[in-house]
Amino acid sequence: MHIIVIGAGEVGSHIVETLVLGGHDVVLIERDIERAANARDRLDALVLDGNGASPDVLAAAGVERARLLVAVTDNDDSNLIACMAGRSMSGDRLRTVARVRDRSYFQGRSAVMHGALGIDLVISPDRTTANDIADALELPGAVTVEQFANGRLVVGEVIVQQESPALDRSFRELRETGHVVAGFTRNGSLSIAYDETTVAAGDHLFVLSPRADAARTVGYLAGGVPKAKRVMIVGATEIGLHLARRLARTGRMVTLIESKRARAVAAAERADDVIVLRAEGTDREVLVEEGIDRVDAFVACTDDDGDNLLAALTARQLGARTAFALVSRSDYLALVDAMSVDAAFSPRMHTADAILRFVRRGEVERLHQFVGGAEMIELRPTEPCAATRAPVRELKLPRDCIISAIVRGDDVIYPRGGDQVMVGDAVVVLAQPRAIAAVERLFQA
Amino acid sequence: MILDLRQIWTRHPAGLNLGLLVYALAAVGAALGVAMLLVALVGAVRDGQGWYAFAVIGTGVALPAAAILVFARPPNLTPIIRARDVLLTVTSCWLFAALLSALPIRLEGDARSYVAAVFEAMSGFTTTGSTIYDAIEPLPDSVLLWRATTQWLGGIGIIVLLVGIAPALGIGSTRALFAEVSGPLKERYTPRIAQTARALVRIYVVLSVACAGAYMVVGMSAWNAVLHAMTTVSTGGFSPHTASLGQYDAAPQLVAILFMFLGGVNFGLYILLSSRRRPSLGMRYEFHWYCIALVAFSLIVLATLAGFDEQRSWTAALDATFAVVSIVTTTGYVTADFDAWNETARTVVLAIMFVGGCAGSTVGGVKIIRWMMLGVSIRAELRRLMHPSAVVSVRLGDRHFADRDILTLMSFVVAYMLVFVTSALAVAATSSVDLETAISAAAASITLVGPGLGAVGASESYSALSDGSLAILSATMLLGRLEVFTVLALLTPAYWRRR
Repeated sequence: MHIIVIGAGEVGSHIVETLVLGGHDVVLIERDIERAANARDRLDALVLDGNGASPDVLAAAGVERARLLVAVTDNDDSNLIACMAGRSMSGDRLRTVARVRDRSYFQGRSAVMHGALGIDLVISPDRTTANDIADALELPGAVTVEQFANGRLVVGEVIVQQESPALDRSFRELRETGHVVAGFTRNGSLSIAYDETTVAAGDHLFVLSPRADAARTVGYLAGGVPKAKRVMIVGATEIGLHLARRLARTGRMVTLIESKRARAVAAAERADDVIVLRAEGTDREVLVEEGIDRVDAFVACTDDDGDNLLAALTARQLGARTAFALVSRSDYLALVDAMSVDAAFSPRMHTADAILRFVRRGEVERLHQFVGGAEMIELRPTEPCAATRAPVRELKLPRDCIISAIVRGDDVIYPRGGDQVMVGDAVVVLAQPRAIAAVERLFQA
Repeated sequence: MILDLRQIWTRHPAGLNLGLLVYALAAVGAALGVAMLLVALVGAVRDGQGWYAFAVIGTGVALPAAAILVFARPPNLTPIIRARDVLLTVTSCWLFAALLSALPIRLEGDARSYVAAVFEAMSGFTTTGSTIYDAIEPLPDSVLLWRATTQWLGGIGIIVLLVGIAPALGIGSTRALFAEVSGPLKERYTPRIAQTARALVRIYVVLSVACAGAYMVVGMSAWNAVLHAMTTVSTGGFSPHTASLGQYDAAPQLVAILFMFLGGVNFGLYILLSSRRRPSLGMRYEFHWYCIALVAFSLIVLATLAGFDEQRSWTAALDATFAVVSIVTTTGYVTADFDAWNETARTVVLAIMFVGGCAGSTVGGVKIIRWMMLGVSIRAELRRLMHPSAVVSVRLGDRHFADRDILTLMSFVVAYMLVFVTSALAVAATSSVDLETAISAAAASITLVGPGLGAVGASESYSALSDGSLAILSATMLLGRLEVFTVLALLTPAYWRRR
């Protein structure tokens, strides 16, 4: 598929990299000459200098042949105009995605406008990220949560602590007691959880369970973590505020810390069941004063990656049970494992996830991408295909991938060799990047 | 058993990616091995002699190379492919190709030494076309075909073939390709670099087939037509005749002129035209100046000959045009012995060796586009002299050049000339030849023309030079083909320093 991506920032580059691996032809448009030169050096894509909203540049990028246009520059208006221009040049065949930060562009009647302008998907990185963090906090013990099969299957990321009952046991033993692990990351790279591997302290396990059992399974593996009752959030940014309001609505005690006066005041006006403090997130006195040692979850989401990581470290040191940091730069994500910070949320990764999900619509229902490029994808065979014709053991699955679960009706099956995929199932597969294309082929009629 | 090439990544003290190197060399070895087997087959069928070494070496190389390719993980999984890994890989691929191809030339072609055979092979892959053989006709058919094959493979470029036919270099492909494709401004024309490589190969094959067909139409035998087509479009210059194209009458010579000309055009131009896209202004200017240069130099040579030659017929015009096209496109075919011309004409011949064709073609030399860039930067310099506070934009058509581009250009020209001078001195020191021979041999090698003047002149061969000189000229050809910097970087201590 011919795809045009506008903006070679973190999100743009990441999307291009993934799409190229997936076998698509990508043209990347970037205005900044140095950034463009950098992208040209690193990515196997045609990189054009110029303004992606300009019809001439779009024509040079082959917009008439393109099926998808993704506008992810830093400028909301450029993104919207690029999508409009693309649509008006090549009609309905072209699907368009725009990243938009400004709330006023997707609230209220904006949806009507998007339809009229010909924009298929408007992504707000802030909102997407805030919702993902809230999901994780609602499942105590998990640092991230993904849902598959319309929420019937939950995948929680659990960090193995010294007191975890899973420590030093093999994945086969865990599975026999009903705790199914699909994969784990150790030293920053993801591996598939084969039977004989044993769990070590510091591993991040990706645990599968039906929705109803999720809290029990995840809680057990994490070593009995209580429900996140007290939450402290640093930074009344769009993300922080959205998160605070959503958590407060479900009855949690939320404290929001913001150092800028105007922002703190605005936050207090918009969320009256949240306690808003005006202070620095790394101010030890304030944190202790506000009972940081009794906080179940500490979330740092200011605009500065460094501040967030330092605040989360401080909170952990002062006794917060779990600490999360918002990290935009993907370079820093790899550092998080080496710190006592529990998890990092990257708005850019979440945006990229959402866009990739949209790109693969039809091929893939849901998708989560791990650091390093491994993906957990949900496939739904609607017609008989290679995957439904033989039991799992006889399928020619590529190396480095595994069918983690089959969701049939309300049942979740963790397949062994003899099980077979049926038409209408939701199949969740964990795969390294090089295996993804081959897996998708198995599920095509 | 899986050989994991990632494992050998850090083995080298300078942290070079040796996994990539092994994989790329295996790909080159497998390709050349298969080519040798085909040559052995053709040789066995045609004249039944001189095919044995090709069969043995071909098998001996293809099998282990194929084993590495099958059992090793592809190198795009290696931790990092850095610019310096690519420099080493590209240079090694070319060196390896020449060293390997020299074996059957030494054994079946009766070359006087292995060094001489390497010279012949390097002259083949770099499409130079200078030869160590005084007489070509006695060579077995297998060696004739092999010489043409090396030129045909080297013409479009070993790396282009690797990337276009097999995705052998993974994520290092773009850099590797750009390290090999000639010219100052590297461009890709498609989203994927492999598509660009495939488009280049496709155009190259089409041109070659058309060229062979044209030769046959004008009366060449099928065998000679194929051999000549392989060395015409690649602007190589090996011929199965000692007299080169002088063996034939006017019609095949005109065909040769046409296809040498086409081989010297920027292949990007063909890609853009065949996908109905408009070439940039700079690219069109380059093409115009390429044509203008060919016509102008032909007229100059004709004018210098006018006083010298009694028969002012159209054969003189044909001879002059053929010589100019052959030299500017750095092919090195010979019809009239330009070494026997008057001193003015011979000086012109030596000078136009350095012109070169378009960037992104199969041609060597400095390249038209670089001379154009030099021209506009000199003009900008002159304007600054006259208006000291002028803000001057150095541009060619719609493309503006940053100071960095100009600096790169100037460094290239200076380095190129330094290599030329050093090579000429080294030849003079290692062989007992006159100054003219030494200088023209170095010039014809770095520019990939082939025949020079004096003892290495149009009707002579390089057999008069010592093995030492041949080794030096082999290195000079490699430097010329990879446009100096790729190879020079490897010769610096900093490259090999542990870091």
